[in-house]
Amino acid sequence: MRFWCGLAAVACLLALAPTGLPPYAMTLLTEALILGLCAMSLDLMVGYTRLLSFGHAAAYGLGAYTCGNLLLHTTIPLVFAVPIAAAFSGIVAIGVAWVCTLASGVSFSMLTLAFAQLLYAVAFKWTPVTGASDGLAGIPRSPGPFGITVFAGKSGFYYFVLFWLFGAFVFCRALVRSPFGAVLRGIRENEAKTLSLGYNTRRYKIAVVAISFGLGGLAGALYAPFAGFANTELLFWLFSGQVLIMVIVGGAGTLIGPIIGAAFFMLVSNLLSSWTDSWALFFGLIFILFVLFAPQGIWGLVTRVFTSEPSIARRGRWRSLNWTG
Amino acid sequence: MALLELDGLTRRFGGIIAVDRVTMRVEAGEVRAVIGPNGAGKSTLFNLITGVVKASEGNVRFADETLTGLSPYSICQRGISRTFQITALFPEMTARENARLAAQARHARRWQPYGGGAVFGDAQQRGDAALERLGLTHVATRPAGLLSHGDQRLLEVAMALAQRPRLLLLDEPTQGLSVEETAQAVDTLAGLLSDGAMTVLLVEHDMEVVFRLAGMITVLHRGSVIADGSPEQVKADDEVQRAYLGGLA
Repeated sequence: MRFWCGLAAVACLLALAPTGLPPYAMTLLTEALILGLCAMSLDLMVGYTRLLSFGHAAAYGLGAYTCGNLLLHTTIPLVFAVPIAAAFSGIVAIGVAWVCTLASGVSFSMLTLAFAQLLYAVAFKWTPVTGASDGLAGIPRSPGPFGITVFAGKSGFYYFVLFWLFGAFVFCRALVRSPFGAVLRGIRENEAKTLSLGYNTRRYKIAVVAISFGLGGLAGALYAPFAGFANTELLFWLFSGQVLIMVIVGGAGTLIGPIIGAAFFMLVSNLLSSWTDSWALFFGLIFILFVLFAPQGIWGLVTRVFTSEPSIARRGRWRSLNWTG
Repeated sequence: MALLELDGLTRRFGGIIAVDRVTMRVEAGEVRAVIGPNGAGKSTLFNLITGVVKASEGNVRFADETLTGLSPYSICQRGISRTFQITALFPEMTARENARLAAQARHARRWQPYGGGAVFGDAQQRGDAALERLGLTHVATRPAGLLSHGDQRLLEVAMALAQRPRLLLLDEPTQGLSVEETAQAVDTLAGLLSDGAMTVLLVEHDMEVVFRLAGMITVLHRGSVIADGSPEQVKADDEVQRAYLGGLA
């Protein structure tokens, strides 16, 4: 009950944001929500299943390019193009996950990285579809159906993003609390034991990668019409690393944490970059401090303030990122 | 018809023959111990039965079905649950959640990606019952990683029981326990097995434990079966005396 009240309060607050914030702040907030969605989707793999992916940019970029092409070259309206692109990312991920889950641990991470870099290389060469190094520009927010144009405006699009973020959050929360989610936690803590208990762990891993990529693709699909362009940066390994940092700094295995981590990343990188070019260096320091002193992330710190007794689950969270366990 | 039949089961690791043409039967309702010195192939035998390690030659038959080549999860789904020599639990989950996840594996909707009240309810009921049978109810809400080593060993047995297996494989259930803990654990296990409703295959080092729990004994030496029979027969066997017992009986 307390959870739903809190969620409703945050929803109201975010819904009122366009009335009080200046346009530039609204742009930042919208991008933060999109990145938050991307980070939350990665949390399903990293935080809940201990599948450390170094290739989440693949999901994001795939969603962005798919959505961009749909909006540029077809008459499919924005409200349909976004979920179609997300579904496409999820379906592609089934094949990718099938290959990547042949390995585990570091090898799994390297395979995800390799796949993302492969897409990056393809995006540079496949000019008719990706626009090569120029990328796709002038991606419209196509109206419809029934002539709905409300999402084309700045605050209209913001609400569109907000809707998908909340929908995805409620979906993910139900997922991790379901029987399926219980099995994911089992894989996170002891995969061999989960297998010997009679769970086909590989199938669960493929499913969670597909869902994670689908939602990561959703974030990318929102980014393309938000920014109006899609370029190879979205597929670059640097972005994968940044999303991973958002998850860890925000608090892996909490869903909310990564969203906060994404907003924190946006905020800090904007503040830092206004007075130094080497802002990434300072953000790196922040990241190191978190890993060393607050491995449970921002959300872990917040919940520790409100609950007196630290549970083993929270203390052990860092271990859940550790390959060797 | 035996519940479990091993026929000429062999496993080679390079030039080493870990398990050498083992033929063995476990009848329904039997508690059988596999004993043997270190390196006799006991754990490999377990790993062959549960599909963790593939057989080089030979067959495993369970309830008239060949298990050879099946993966560990599908062998478990056919009704063989096991514990591990080195405790394997979910350390950050409570004992209750451990037992629940074990029981959930036997639920038709174990993978349901939403809700789950009914699935969790059924699984928890079976899990709690298993915890109670092993006397773990008082520690049920503690994280498994914080339990005493003795309770962790018993929790693993409880998890296997929660799956209501047709065949239970126990890999050295008293491994690493103190003398008092062993005595307690053996009392608990003996109580559990006393009604003869369960079929158990047991690997154990401690001869006192074996003679207390097992009705039948198979002796392995360098991967081969050198004796098979009741505890009295095995104790009296000359070859066993030479290879292993060393005048204990």
